[in-house]
Amino acid sequence: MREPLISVRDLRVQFHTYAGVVNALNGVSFDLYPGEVFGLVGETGCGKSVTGLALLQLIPPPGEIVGGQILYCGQDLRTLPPAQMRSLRGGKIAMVFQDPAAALNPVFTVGEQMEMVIRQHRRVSRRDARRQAAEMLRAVGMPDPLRILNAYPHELSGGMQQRVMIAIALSSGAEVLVADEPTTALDVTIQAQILDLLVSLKKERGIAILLITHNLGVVAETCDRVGVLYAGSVMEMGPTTAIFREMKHPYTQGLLAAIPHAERRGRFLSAIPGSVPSGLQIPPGCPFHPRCAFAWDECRNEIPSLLPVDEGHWVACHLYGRGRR
Amino acid sequence: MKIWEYILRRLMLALLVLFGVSLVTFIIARVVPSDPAALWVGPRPTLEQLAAARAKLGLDQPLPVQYLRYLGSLLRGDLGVSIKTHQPIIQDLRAYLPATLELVLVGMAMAVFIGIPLGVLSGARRNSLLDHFSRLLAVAAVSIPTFWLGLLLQILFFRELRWLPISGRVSIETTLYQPIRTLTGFYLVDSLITRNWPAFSDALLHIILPAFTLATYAIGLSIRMTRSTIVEVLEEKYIVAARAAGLPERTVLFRLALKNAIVPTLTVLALSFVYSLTGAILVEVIFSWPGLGSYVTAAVLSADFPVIMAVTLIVTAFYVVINLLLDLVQAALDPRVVLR
Amino acid sequence: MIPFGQAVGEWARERQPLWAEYGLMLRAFRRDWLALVSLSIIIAFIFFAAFAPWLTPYPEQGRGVPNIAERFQPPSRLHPLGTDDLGRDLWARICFGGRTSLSIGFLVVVIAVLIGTPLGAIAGFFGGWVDEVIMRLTDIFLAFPSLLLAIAIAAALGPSFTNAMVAIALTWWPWYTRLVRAQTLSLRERTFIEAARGIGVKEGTIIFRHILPNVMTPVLVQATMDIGSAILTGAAMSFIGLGVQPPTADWGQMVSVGRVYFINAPWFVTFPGLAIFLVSLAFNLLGDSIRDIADPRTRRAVR
Repeated sequence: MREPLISVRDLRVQFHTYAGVVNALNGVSFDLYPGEVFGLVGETGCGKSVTGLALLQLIPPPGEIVGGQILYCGQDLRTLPPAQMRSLRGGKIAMVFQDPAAALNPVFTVGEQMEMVIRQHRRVSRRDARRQAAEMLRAVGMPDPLRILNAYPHELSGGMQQRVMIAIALSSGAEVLVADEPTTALDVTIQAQILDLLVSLKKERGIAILLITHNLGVVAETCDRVGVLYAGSVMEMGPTTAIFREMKHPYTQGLLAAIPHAERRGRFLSAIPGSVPSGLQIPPGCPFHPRCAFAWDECRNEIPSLLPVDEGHWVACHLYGRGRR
Repeated sequence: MKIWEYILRRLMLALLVLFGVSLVTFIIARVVPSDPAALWVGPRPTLEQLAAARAKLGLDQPLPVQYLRYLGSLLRGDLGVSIKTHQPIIQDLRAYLPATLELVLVGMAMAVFIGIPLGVLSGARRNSLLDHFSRLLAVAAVSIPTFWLGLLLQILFFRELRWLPISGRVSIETTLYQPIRTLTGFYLVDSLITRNWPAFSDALLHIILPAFTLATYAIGLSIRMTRSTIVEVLEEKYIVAARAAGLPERTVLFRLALKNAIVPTLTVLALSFVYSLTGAILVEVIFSWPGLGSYVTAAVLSADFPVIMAVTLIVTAFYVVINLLLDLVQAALDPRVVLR
Repeated sequence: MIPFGQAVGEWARERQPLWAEYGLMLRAFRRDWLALVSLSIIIAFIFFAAFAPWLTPYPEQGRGVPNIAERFQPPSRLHPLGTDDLGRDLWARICFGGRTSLSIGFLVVVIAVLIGTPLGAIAGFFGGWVDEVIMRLTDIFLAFPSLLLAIAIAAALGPSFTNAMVAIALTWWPWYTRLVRAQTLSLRERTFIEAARGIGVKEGTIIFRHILPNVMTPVLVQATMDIGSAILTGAAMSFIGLGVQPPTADWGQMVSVGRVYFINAPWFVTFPGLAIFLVSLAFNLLGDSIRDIADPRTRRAVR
């Protein structure tokens, strides 16, 4: 069995607001292996992005990691000294964001931004940094790296901006890439190109990618394994094929039924009744029970734990718990 | 080429503003119930003297003609003659303007080097002790009456501690034994060029209190402005991205965020620079600083309107030029700014 | 002097208040102890000024009658803040001085708002050459060295309370024009304004019924912050000798006279200056808090 690069164990994150404590993550666990794309899917506000930021120890205040572990090469990132954590960020663990136009600093050229990051992680001259930056841009499929280096972000198209973001993220030899909705802000055709790029980077460089998205189509195309997140908890986790063919959790079933499908043309799309609970008031028991057609007493009182139903396929649902498979 | 076009167009607009300002001052000067001719002649004038003075000053002409004549002499670079002293105003300005500029520039330097770093740190560490301190400092700085602060500083540093001189640009000893040769009119610069070290340190000691008093308001402004823009900038995605790329906090704050956040601060600093040119009046009065403010206040109190008009025009010219420079700097700092 | 709040406030203010927001704002305000303290200071000073004759045993001295026998008395039980160069009780003078200093602050801002707001709304709403003319006019007034203009106007009209006030207000209105214009420009694009235009509501009605109520909050925030600066400027005018004339009491004028005696009678210059400082500080702090409270982003921010 391969060793995971990153193991997240029982991660809990809270935000302290005027209105009260918001429980953003309630014990999230998953592994990320080298050379795989692990998709984290869920609706807005389910805690996907917070998970990504937690991996880099960048939860913004008033948020706080209140429990659990994030293990990278056996070390808990939560207890790592700040200086070491900083060299990991952008060094071994890198991140790309949803809106590249907002994530690139508008008042510095692409070259300046790349050089700054490269020279932060490696002792190289400015000239070498620039050369490496150009190479990296070529590696992410930019045709004219020298021109791009001198350009300001707003002079580039959205797709190019996202390629630049990826180039910056990988410029210092990252092993783990957290991609938070990397294609959501882009045109559909550009989306496909960026996803292809991510997949090819995974294959060529063997990096592990945590792909955070709400788009199940993206998941189907790119991910090797998927975790389904709901109200800060993992509901179901397993290989992409298994999730799409043999989804177990009622929430996953609902999500997939809500996708328009060529074979079911002309029929109504089904939507999950109710709405996502706010992090302020997560229902007791299974967080999904108020919207679940199968809920019974146990669901209302007891939080289901994530249990295996198949090889590498895990579900947190009382329907499948303790021999009721 | 594009940029020169822009500068040229802005300078034309500036001329328009200067024209408007000269018109407004001219109107104010003429509605005043005071007789420049009488002032020109002095006490106990004869009717003939008054008539002669009126003719000499052009006051016998209709108002539009007077204004056109005034404009004409302005275009020739002639700012006119003081009614009170009969001195060409340009000569007076050569002595007073550098004194005020020196004061204001030192004050602005204080605002930049105290205000901006405090603002950045305060915005970066919101609700820390430093933040509370510098916010309080900022509000106090903009709330304190300048003239009163000057007096308090004099009481403290001159009367109680005896560290700093009470007023003037240099002490009498310097004027007598180590006189500064006037080259630029900036004492600090002149004494530095001529290597007149005792005079330099004397001038430096003299400028500290008035410059700080003058700078308080700008310090308060720049702390507040920097803090609030830094707070806003730090919420931006690209700051999170910079941190995610492993850049240390110092770089994130002072290299990245500051460049994104500096323009509003520069704007208020530039504005307060211009306002200080005449706003220095209060400070100059308290510290007996022979500058533009004292000059123009004296002119106002004796209704010496050519002087008032000249000073107003000079200060307005500073305002327009500095605004233009500000726009150019902004365009240089932010590539998205289009000069239009 | 740049009206302090203006300079800050011109940047980034997008949100528009709904009437329902005011309830939330009031609740946030009650939790903000700094704002409450500031408000108390302001109310206290207004109270001192309003009831000055009943708060001192020497109301006639407050109005200016000299009392040569007791010149330069240091603070004592009889004269808690000491006496001035003409033997008048400083506490009485400060209470009476508050009447002029506070009203100059309020009136300057009121006049400036009354001139600036409609001009800004008109400029922003109609755009085109109307906008161009109004904005060039504000440019000229902003380019003018404001303290100098005020001094010149006051000198031309003769030094007095009214003239000082008018002079300061004339240098102040363009800031409101700019603020309101910017607000109006963004409002003009909003759906409810477009809807009103679409169904043929008259332009004047739109300005008065829809635009002005919606720009009131930023203007009020601005005004609160500006009262402090206006009081400071008024005090500066009196300090130069172009404001309120003796025997009427005024804080700036008291500092100006007290300055001469600061070596031997430091209390004389200290207390009136402190009064100016406190009031101006209170208005600035209050304006700050109101601005934060009026902005939903900062109001709900978490500590």
